[in-house]
Amino acid sequence: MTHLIQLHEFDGGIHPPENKRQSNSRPIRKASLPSELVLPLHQHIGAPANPVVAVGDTVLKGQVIAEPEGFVSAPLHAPTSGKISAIEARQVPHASGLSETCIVIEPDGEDTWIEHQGLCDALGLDHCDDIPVDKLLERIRDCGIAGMGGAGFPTAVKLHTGKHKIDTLILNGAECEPYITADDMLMREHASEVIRGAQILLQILGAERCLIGVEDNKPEAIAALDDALVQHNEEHHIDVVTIPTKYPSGGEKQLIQILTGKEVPSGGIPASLGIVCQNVGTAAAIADAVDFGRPLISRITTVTGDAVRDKGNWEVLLGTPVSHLLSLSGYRPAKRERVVMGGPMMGFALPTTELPVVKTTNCLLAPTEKELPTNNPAMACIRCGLCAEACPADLLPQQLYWFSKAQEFDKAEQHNLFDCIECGACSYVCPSEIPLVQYYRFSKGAIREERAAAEKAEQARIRYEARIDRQEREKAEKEAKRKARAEAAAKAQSVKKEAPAAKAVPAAEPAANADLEKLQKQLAAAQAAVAKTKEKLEAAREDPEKADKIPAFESALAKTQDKIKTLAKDIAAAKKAAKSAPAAAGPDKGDPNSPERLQKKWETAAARLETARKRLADAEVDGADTVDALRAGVEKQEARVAEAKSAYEASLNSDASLKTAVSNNAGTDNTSAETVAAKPDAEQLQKKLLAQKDRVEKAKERLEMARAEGLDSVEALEKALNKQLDKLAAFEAQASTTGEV
Amino acid sequence: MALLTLSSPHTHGPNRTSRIMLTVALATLPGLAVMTWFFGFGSLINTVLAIITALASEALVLKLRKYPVSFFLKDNTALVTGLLLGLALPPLAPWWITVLATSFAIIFAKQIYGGMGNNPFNPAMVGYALVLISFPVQMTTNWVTSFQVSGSDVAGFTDALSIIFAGASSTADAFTGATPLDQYKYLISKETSDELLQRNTFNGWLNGGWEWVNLAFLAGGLFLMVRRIITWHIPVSMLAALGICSLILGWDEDLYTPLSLHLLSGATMLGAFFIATDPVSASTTPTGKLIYGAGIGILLYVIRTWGAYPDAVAFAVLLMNFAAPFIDAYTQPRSYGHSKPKRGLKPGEKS
Amino acid sequence: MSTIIIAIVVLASLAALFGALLGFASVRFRVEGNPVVDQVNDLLPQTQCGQCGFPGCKPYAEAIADGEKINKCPPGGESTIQALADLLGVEPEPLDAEHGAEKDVPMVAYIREDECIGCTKCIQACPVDAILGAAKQMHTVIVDECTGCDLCVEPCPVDCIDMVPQSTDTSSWYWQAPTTGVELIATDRRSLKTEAHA
Ligand code: SF4
Ligand code: SF4
Ligand code: SF4
Ligand code: SF4
Repeated sequence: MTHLIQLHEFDGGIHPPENKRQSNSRPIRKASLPSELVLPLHQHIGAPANPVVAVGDTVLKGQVIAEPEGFVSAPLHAPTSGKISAIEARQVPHASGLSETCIVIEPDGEDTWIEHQGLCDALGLDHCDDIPVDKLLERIRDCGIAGMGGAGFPTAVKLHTGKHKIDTLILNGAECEPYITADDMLMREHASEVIRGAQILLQILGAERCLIGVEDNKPEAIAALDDALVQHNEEHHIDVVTIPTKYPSGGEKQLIQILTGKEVPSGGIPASLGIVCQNVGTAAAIADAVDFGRPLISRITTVTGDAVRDKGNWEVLLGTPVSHLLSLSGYRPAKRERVVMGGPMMGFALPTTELPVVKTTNCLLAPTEKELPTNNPAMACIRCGLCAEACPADLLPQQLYWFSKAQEFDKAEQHNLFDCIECGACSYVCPSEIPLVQYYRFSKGAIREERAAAEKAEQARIRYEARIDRQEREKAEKEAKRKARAEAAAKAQSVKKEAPAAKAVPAAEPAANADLEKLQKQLAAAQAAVAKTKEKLEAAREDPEKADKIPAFESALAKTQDKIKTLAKDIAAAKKAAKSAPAAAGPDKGDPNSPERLQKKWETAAARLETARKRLADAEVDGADTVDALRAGVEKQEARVAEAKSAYEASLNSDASLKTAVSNNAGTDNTSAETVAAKPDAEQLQKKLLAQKDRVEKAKERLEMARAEGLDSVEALEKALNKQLDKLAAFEAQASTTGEV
Repeated sequence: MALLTLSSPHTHGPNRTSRIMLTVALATLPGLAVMTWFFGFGSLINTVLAIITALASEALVLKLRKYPVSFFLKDNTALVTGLLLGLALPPLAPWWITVLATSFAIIFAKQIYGGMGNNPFNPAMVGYALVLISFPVQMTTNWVTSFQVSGSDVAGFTDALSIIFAGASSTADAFTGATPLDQYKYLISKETSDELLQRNTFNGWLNGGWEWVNLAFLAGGLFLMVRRIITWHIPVSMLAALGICSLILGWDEDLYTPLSLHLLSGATMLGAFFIATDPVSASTTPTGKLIYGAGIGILLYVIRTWGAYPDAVAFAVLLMNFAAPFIDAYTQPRSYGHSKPKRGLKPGEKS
Repeated sequence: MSTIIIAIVVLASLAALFGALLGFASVRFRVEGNPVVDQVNDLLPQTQCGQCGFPGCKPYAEAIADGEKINKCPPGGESTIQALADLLGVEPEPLDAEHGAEKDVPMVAYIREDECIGCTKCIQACPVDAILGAAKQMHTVIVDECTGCDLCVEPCPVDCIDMVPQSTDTSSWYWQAPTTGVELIATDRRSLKTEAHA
């Protein structure tokens, strides 16, 4: 009031019919309580809030039901008291018509407030003027306040201006969109709160002045604000500035240009100019939050358009279904029905009316086709340039249109596509009725998607290269290890060679002492065991495959348990056998197929099986969903145990048969074994041959298994198999010569 | 209950392409009337013929392209193309010249490029240039020598019809001749400017038909400006460039055509307000329009003065059509929030 | 005679002048940049799927730099071919169908977790380490890192991996380009208007 503000003009702009009279001629009414309130967790820009209530909880009015997630986020409060009836995905008010998680509250009709109080009282301060800034910010954040003009940026975040020194606060009361009168009515009826909000904001920002920009088509609001200024004795800091009516003067960037003559740098924020811009509704909400502790749970929404009988403004609880509000206003669905959330220039048409009012819903516009005809089919652009004249951002909409249509996105970007504020002025004036803004939205989306894809590709490349590096490193390490091992083995070999005789004699002794009959019996038993194990192995192997193909494991439960029992018995038996094994075991520890080794393998396999079973049992008890997976695992493990066992037994078997011959079972040195051995008779050879065949088969099986499972041991097993095959060949040769003899 | 979901904005202003084109057509009417008054019914007949040909060719091509015919005919762009061509051609040009020029303009210069909005060249001028190059004699001599002031000497309706459709050359010879621009250029080597201006063709200030025709088109152009259908940029820069060239280079009236003749003779005003401003093929940025207009003005002067053709609007416009996309790319306005405008088409660093 | 000499001198000096200009321009405006392999690699989608017949995008990039055809990458599709053609100054060719077709929508792998037996085979197959899991534990796909290359689907012994279209949410959704007026009329003769009046 006291300062003379030099107004500036922004380029372009249009003067669509205002259509505000219909809804601003009667006071704000309070909307009734609907039967349920649906609160999307994502009503603001940033991360969605995180629910802190569960279905069935009862909540009080103003109670926090969802906490902010991260810095750029806002909490959510129960708009009334009631019961949480669901937390589920519901369609949200968004042009896409997609669903997002919402908290659904069934009101109890009591509308009982949670305990709340003003910040001043809460802190127990005497002077309410010197509440610390951080407390104020905290209160604003805790009360879930987000920009109520359009985008819904969390207010507390916007007020963290960091290194920027703010000198001017701008309150946006321009409300330039046709039809909408929510801010107009708010300023008329709650001017005092708006001014109080401005005071608080000034204190937080440490700014010297506040400009409230109001279009000159709202004289009542301007008068009310002036009165409130006098009441608050704030005429020296706060100015109500009347600006000429022109769309889109209420755009943040345009309003800043009008009031200060400065332009927000492309891609920058107003704070870099020392300016913060807030909506008047947000200011009023801040006043409510700070002075009374009332979180943001309701807002003023205009319901207008010729399809509603009773046009006007409502104070609505957030989460109120649009259909409820429309029916309160006497909505008569018309042909080619549209319900627009927001104004006719920038609002979006709702896919259904079963959507809730959210923090940013300033208007519901239900026009008839006669009132706002839908566009005719677009004609070709005649490059008339009317759009460029109307564009408040000084872009070349016709060029952007050509580039977007041709999907030449880099050119569109070069023509400053991202400075387009999607105000719709260009579409409004386009004589060819081209939906220009939709083209720009498409281009922007596609470019963003492209950027995200490029980023992802870059990420993928990095991960891929890291993986290749890692694999190479691992390979190198393995190679190094293998070499080291080979060297060690070579050394051991040379040591062994030095004293072969000394070793051979004690090894041969027990064998020489052994009773042949006994040995044969053992052999037979072992062979029987091998056969049995084979069968089991087969069965066990079939099972996982069944498991693969028949996902329904439930029916197999009993069967598997039986099997576990039998296997347990097997293991017990195997353990017994194992105890006696060391005595019979061959001496050479370097051989991977030595009974000793095999026994160890078997034992560890058995132990693993045990733990697997235990886990399975646990899982079964808990009814965890991993049961099936674990069961499959157990089955595999069973197979492995069985195999290990059979391998062990086979090796025992061959060991036994060779004992009399004082042979080196390992077969690393067949010829030496041959020389050391006493001359075998044909019978013995035959047995040996059989055993060796068995072993080869086993090794093959094992190799297959390892291959199928992609285990690291494949290579080792392959080598082993080859050795066994060599041995077999040697035996066969021997047998044939013996036969000849 | 499925609601309509369309992208914003949900409302639209009163502008319509068809209405804009109709306004352009209306704005040429004073010019057409004056031409008819001074040059006889030839202009009117040829204009109507051109419009009919334009609409017919457009409909034919649309049909062949399987496009909705009425939807496109309704945009009135073919109407304007035909109309402008009819105005630009010599009033007593034989009918086949008009038909050839118009159908070529619509079929080749417009539809082959993809139809409305996609043509890089001004279709009317392409058609005009075609017949000018192909039939220079018919194109330069069928102008009415405008010594007829009273109106009684003008080719009457039947005369005009017979000249245009039957090629009645004996009748024609009585009325036709070259344009003042052509004559001046041709005769200035033999006579002084003063002598020349006394001749019938020129007949002193505002006595011949051409001045009035140009003034009528100027009026129509101003009307378009007031209706905000065209902006001032192209006409003003074009006329200014033409004027400056003529003042600096052609100050000696005994050697060069004087300024008054440049501005108010030939197709200058028609070109400045109706042809150069054809939005589809012109430059669209404010600075670009200035450059584009100035380019046309300079070329117009150069071709008129040193070229072989009497008038040069068509060539000047077509040459600048070539340059328009390039001009546009390098004359982008400074957008909000940028310290300087961007140049070219390649994504560059942020400005 | 002298005219000939003059002509020769003029031409020669012109040639020298333009040569010098060109030389200067080539030095002054030289494009600094990574070698061609890296540039090509940057254009490839880095899906690492091997559909091109090379064991990854980088090897294919190397092959392209050595003269391999540029139309073998199905995930990149036409846009990548176009970009490669622009970069290398060659004619774009249609995608070689032999290597597969371009997918309309980006896909990601999804493991039906209750069916996974934790065999780790998919982990070994995934070129970008987008699968999380350990032996005998349930495995899961990190959706943000999955390139949709399909390579993990085959090795899974229990067939519990599906390729599903990448989901859109309200932050990734965007308006599609409108249908043009002509298409609108062509596809729906009852245009918006007439429908309204009906
Ligand atoms: S207003 Fe429409 S027709 Fe005119 S230039 Fe812009 S997009 Fe083209
Ligand atoms: S929507 Fe974008 S291009 Fe169109 S007028 Fe607004 S800012 Fe300019
Ligand atoms: S998870 Fe599967 S589809 Fe996704 S990147 Fe890895 S291997 Fe490819
Ligand atoms: S391949 Fe299949 S079963 Fe194996 S870990 Fe992966 S998802 Fe699980």
